[in-house]
Amino acid sequence: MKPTVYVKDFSLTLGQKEIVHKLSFEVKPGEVFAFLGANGSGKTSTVRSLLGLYEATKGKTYINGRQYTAKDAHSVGYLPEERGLYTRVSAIDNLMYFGEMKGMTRSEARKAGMEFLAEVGLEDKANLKLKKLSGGQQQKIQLGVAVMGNPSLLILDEPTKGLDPVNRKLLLDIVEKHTDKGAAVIYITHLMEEVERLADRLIIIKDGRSEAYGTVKEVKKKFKASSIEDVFVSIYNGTSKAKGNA
Amino acid sequence: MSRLRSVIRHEYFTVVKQKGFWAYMISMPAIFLLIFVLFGFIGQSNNTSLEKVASDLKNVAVVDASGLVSSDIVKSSGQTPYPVSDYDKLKKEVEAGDRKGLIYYPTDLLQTAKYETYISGVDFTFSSSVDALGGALLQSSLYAPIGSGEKIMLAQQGATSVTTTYANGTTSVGFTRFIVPGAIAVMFLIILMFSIGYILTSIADEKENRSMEMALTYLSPRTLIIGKLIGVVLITLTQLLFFGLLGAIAILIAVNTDFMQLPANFDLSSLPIDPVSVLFGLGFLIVGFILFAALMAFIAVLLPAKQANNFSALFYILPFVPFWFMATVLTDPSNPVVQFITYFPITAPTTSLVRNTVGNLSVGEATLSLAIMTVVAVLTLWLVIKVFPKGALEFQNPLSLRTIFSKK
Repeated sequence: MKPTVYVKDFSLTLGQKEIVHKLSFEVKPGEVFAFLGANGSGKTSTVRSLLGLYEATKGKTYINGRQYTAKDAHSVGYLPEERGLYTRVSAIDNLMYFGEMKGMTRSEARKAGMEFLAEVGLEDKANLKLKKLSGGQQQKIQLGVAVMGNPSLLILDEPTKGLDPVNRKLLLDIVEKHTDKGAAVIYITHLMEEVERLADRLIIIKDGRSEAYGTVKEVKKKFKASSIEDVFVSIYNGTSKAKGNA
Repeated sequence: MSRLRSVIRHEYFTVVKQKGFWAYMISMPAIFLLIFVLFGFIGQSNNTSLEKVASDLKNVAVVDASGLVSSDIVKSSGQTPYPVSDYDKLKKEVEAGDRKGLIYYPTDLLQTAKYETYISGVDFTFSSSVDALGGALLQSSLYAPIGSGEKIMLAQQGATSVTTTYANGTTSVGFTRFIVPGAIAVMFLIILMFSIGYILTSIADEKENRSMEMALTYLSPRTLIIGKLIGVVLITLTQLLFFGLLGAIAILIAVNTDFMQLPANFDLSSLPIDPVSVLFGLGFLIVGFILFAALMAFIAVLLPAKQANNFSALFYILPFVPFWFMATVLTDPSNPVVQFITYFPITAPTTSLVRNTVGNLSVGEATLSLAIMTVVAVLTLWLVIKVFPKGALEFQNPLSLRTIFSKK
C-alpha cells in the first residue's frame, strides 16, 4: 500500500537556524499517526513544509506521491494549532469558502457544510458570524473545514484543545469516521491518553530530530515504558537510552 | 478560475456585508448633508435677524452737517433726515435708549473722511448695519451727480467680463471643460480615502487572526493576492456607484427644486468632454489605484498588522502634498517642486490629476508621469506576489531585506 505521506531525510533551516534535521516517516491510508514533541520541537514547521508553506532545505516531503501544491487542496484537510477562520463571516460561509477552495462546487460545499453542522449540533448557528460562537463551537467549525470534501489526509494540530469531554468525544468520533473511510491522519497533541486511544503509529521528535518512531506498542516496548507519556518524559528528561526507530 | 472567483466573492462580501461598511459610507455624505442643513437653518435665522435689523434701521436718524449727503437719497432709503440743530437731542435719545441709532456727517467730513454713528445697545449686527448704511448713503450721494440710476449702479457695482477663450485655433468652452477631468480627480480622492485601505485591512487581519495559514494551504499566493485586489476593485466600484447615486439624487433635487441651485446657464447634457484629458485622467485614476493598492498590500505583507496600519498613514498623507503647493501647481507648472511631485510615484497620481484638470499638463508630461506610475505599480505588484508567501506567515516581525530578496 502506497503511503499517503512520505517524508524522507527532510531538513529545514529558517534563517540561520536548523529547525528540522533529517526527519523520515510515513503515514499510511486509514491510520492515525501521532506526531509528538514539545513546543518548538519542529512539528509545525514540518507540517508547513508538507503543505508547501515552507520549502524543505533538504529531503522529500510528499503527499500522495508528490510535493503538495494548492492544486492538490482537495486531498488535504488542515486544522492548524493557531486557529485561523474568518471571524466576521458566518459559520456556513466559512465552511463553504474552504469547501470551494478544495474544488467543491458552491452547492456541494453548502450541502456538505450543512451536513457537518447538523452532525455537530450547530445547524441553528449556520448563519451566525463566527465571532458570535463559543470557542468550542468555533473549534468544531475548524474541524468541519478540515474534513470538507473527505480529504485523503487530515492534519490535525491539537484538535481537542479547549473542548469539554462530550465535545472531545464527538470530535474524536468524527476523526475515526474518516479513518474508517481510508483517510490518513497526522495527529498532533500533547494529550498522551488521546495517543493511546487513537494512534496506530507515532513519532516523537526533539529539537527537530526523530527520537522514537513506530507503532504505539513497539515504542513502549523499545523504551520499556508502560505508557507513551513515560516514553515522552524520558526522552525530554534525557533519561532514555533508546533512540530512533522501534 | 473558480477558486479565484471564490476568493473575489469572499473578499467582496466579507466587506460589503459588514454594517460598518455602510455606516462609514453613509456617515460621510450624512455629515455633509447635516452641515448643509445647518447652513440652511443659520441662513434662515440670519434672514429673520436681518428683517429685525431692517426694521430697527428705520429708527435711525440721519444728520448731515457736511452738506455732502443728499436728503433725497436719505429719504429714498427709508430713513429720515434731521436738521443739524437736532443733533444733540437725537444723540441724547440714543443714549437713553429711546432711539436705535444716529448717523452724523460732520462739517469736516471731506478733510477727515470720518463720520459718526451712535448706537443704542451692543448688537454687533445692528452696529455693522448702521455703519454700512452710513457708508452707502454717503457713497450714493457722491455718485448722484453722475446722472441716471443705471450709471450710478454701474459705477458702484462695476461690470462682469464675458470671456471667450481659444484653444488650438478654435473657441474653447471655458471653465466647464474642467468639470469632467475634475470629477475624475475627485473620484480618485474618494477611492484613496475610502477604498485603498481595504486591501491592507484584509491582509493584516488574515495575518493577525492566522487565517492566512489556512488560506495559503488551499490557495496559491498568486490566486489569493489577485483575488484580494479584484475584490477591492469591486468594493471600490460599489462605493463609487453609491456616491454616484447620491450625487445624481443631489443634482436631480438641484435641477427640480429651489433647494439647491446650479450655476446659471449650466447644462449637464452638453458638458464638454476633451478626450485627451479624460483619457489621461482615467489612466491616472486606474494606474494610481493599482499603485496604491499594491503599495498597501506590500506593507501589509512586509510588516506585522499594527506596524502596517501605522505605516499606511504615509499613503494617506503624501498624495495630498500637491494641495499644499496648490497655488504653485496651478500657476507655475515648470517649478522644480511641481515637476518633482508630478513624477514622484506617490504624489504623481494626485498632482497629475490636478494639473490635468486645470489643463497645464502637457501630453508629454502626462505620458511620462503615467509611464512612471505604471512601471512602479507593476514592480510593486511583482514584489508583493514574490514576498507574499514569506511575509504571510511572519506574524510577529517585519520581513528583512535579506528575506525579501532571497531566492527561497
